[in-house]
Amino acid sequence: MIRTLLPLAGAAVLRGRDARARTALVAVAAGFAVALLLLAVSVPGALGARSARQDARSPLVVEGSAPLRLTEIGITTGSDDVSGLVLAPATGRVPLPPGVQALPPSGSMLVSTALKAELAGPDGALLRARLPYRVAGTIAPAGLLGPTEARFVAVDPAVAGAGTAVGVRGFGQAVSRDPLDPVLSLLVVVGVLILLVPIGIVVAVAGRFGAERRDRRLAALRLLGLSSGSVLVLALLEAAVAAAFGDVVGLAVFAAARSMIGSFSVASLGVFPGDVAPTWPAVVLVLAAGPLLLGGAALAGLLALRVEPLGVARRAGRRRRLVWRVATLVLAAALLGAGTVALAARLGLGVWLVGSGVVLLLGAAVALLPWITERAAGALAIGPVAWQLARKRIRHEGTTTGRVVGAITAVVAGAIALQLLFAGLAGGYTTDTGARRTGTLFTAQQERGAVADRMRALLGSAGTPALASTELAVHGSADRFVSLVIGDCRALAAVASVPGCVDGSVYVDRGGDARPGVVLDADGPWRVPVDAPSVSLGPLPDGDTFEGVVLITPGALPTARRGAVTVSTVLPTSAAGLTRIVRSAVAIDPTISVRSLAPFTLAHRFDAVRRGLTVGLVLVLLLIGSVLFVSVGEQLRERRQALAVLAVLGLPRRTLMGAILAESALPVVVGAVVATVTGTALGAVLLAIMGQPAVPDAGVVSSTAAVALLVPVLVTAASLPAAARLLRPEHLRAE
Amino acid sequence: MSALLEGDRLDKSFGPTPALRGASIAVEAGEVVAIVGASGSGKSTLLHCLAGIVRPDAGTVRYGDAELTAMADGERSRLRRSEFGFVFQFGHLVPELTCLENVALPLRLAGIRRREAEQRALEWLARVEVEQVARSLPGEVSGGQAQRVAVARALIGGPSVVFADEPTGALDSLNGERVMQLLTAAARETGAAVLLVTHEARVAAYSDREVTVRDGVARDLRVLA
Repeated sequence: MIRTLLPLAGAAVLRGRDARARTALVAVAAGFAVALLLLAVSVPGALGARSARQDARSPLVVEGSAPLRLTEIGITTGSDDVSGLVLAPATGRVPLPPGVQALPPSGSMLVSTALKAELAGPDGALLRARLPYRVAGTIAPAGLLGPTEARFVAVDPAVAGAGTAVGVRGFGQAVSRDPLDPVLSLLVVVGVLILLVPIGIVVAVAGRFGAERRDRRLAALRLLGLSSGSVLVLALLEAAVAAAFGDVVGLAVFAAARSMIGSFSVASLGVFPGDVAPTWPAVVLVLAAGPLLLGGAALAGLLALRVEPLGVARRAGRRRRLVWRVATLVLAAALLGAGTVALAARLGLGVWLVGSGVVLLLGAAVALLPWITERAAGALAIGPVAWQLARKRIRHEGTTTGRVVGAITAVVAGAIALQLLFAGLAGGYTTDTGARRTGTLFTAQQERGAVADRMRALLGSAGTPALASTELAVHGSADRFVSLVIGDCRALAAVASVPGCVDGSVYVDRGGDARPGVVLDADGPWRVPVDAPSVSLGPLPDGDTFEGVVLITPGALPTARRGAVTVSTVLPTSAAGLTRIVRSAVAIDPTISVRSLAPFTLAHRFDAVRRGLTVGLVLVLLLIGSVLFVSVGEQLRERRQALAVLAVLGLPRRTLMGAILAESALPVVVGAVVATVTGTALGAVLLAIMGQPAVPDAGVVSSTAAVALLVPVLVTAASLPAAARLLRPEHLRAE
Repeated sequence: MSALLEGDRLDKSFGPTPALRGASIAVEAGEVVAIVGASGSGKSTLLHCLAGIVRPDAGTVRYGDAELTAMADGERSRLRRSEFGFVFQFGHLVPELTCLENVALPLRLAGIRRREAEQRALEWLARVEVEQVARSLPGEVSGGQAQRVAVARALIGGPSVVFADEPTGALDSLNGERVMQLLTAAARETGAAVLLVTHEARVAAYSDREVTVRDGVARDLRVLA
């Protein structure tokens, strides 16, 4: 029987322009969901591959003599991070980092393709000054975390003596790293679910396109002797065939996205296409999800019907019940509550409990929508003829528009919740770098004080005070330290009020062991003068703050007694001769860190998640808009005889337009209210989970709702000309 | 001579409205019987009960030795597939299948291979004079052509009984006449009985005898005798 039914199912989804259009839409909707799910299930693998790449290039550090000494360098220019290794090979067999076939000659470097482009680019001058090495080749992908990573491997024997250089016997150290922040995990999970729930609804709605035609088909087959069971099988086969196209589209979209994924990166998180590889069980599960969803929608639709040889009848006594809708809402609240508790206890289960709660809450909102719409249509009994026509239809048949508005409601509720969450979290995830201005931050760690003094003098010569900092142990104690900030009077005056400062002055910002009279180990005991004035130190140019610190001028403590110090300053990015200063600084210390500063930077990962979700929401809204457009057209075609009857009766065209608009408008208005309430509540709950004050932003809420709910209004308005064409008496002969 | 199909004291109500009240009818193999009556008299309901499409509230329907009214839905479906053919007012063609595929469908459901089924379907389309629409979808052909396709589909499986409910109801008189000619001629040729519901005298004229239904009661003189 299946052999006979399969061609029938194939014909139903592919025969004729309407059928093909319906199938294409279902395939696109389902394909979008499949691609999104495939990308989502690829994330753990991609992160794992990234970690493996990171581990593979982590140096195996040894004490004492080693075949190779290296220092790791991090440079930030604008929004780009550059990282790399400066190597000083010793004797013997020199270990090679991954992606490097042979070490380049001394004074040259291997670079990644991305860094090569940056060096050659218009903003490469500063970078070229910081990396004064000749490019001798490229690093193979094995040595990179992603295709867009800017990385270099340089050889410079001078680095062997740098304070930060370490001895290395090889590469491939497993590094323990923090798992993804639970907050970000939750954002990603909730974000994906918020995109998937409406897509699921849209797929289910699209799966019910052409229901009237399908009813006729199934009734005809029942007349020819097909049993009700076979009819059910046929409907499931039709769903499976449509879903199979969805899977094909999904795989194609996934493959395209995967191939393109190497061309861009968000927050330096580019991944190689080869690393985006979901596991086979995950692929099978995702590919099965489409047929299951469409099959489920078809089954649910058929269970509400009786397909008989004479036609199809809706089962009587199916009133919209409130009880299970409210039960879903209660269950969602319970899951969100349990998730909150679990997250507070730092249990990984919390993310999934909250995720399930989000899905159920959105589901409950969507389920409540038709119930409320029907009640609203019943309550608003008075009005013009157009409204009466619309409310009768809404009350007795519901509308496809209403179902699609359900999907939009889920999107809007989710978008509102996420927007509120982002607005609330922006404070926590916007890192205050502490820098009091933008500029280029130089940081050099020096064990040899003389070099540090040279560096401080160089950086200070650019007109901006340069400070050094270090820590000294409290004399007689192994685990108590006092921070020292070193600078000339001009430099100290930039960060604290230092009255009467001369070379040799000492000041104390009291706190901890930092107090006048304390004795510190500075290559022998050194007492902080008991009469050192108390001052209050503000943040240093690099954003560092101290609680308890001793401020000294160079004459107060000889250079050789200060131990390893960190010299830092911030020069305006527009400073004249910045490139020359960088070059000179690198000549003094090849490991110097040079990075761009901004007073506030949104944490990159957070920003990436937000941008990704915004793009996803726009795509989902476009998909819903197209589904709605087709569904409105389909609905009108199926009603053409009823419309023709109205035309025969002399119904003014304007009244019909009003009725069609009102049919869409009521679910839209109810959807806006439901989405606003649900989204605000969900956003408040999520913010509370994150420990942020739950204060809804009326601007965010209303603008999100307005933009998204414009979709059905515009689509319905766009379909009015088609409705006008259908309001003709000759369509009575449609059969 | 025993009846091929027999309805005995059939009752059927739709809610509070009675459609059949003790209707009885007997159809013999190969005969063409017209069920006539006014609108709402219950003639279509009677036909649907006899075809096993609608289950009567009381009374029995026998087909040969089998009692339709005692059969489960699956058995009745099998019987419709193997023994009955149908021509209804609006054809009831599957909109997504071409006319050729629609006609071949009963054979395909009986397990006959596609090539053979379509070959025979083509012959039947030629027999009812619409072979030119073989590759067209039902929505692309005229009402008269669609009804001829339905006739071919009803007869291709070699049914014992063809149920025709207002087969010309949606057609003009010229097309209606031609459909009736083709239906009855083909049925007589294959030996199928035809049970025809109509309210038109000129359509009923194609039958061997008429059974009148009035207020849910069938007056079948053969049963009454």
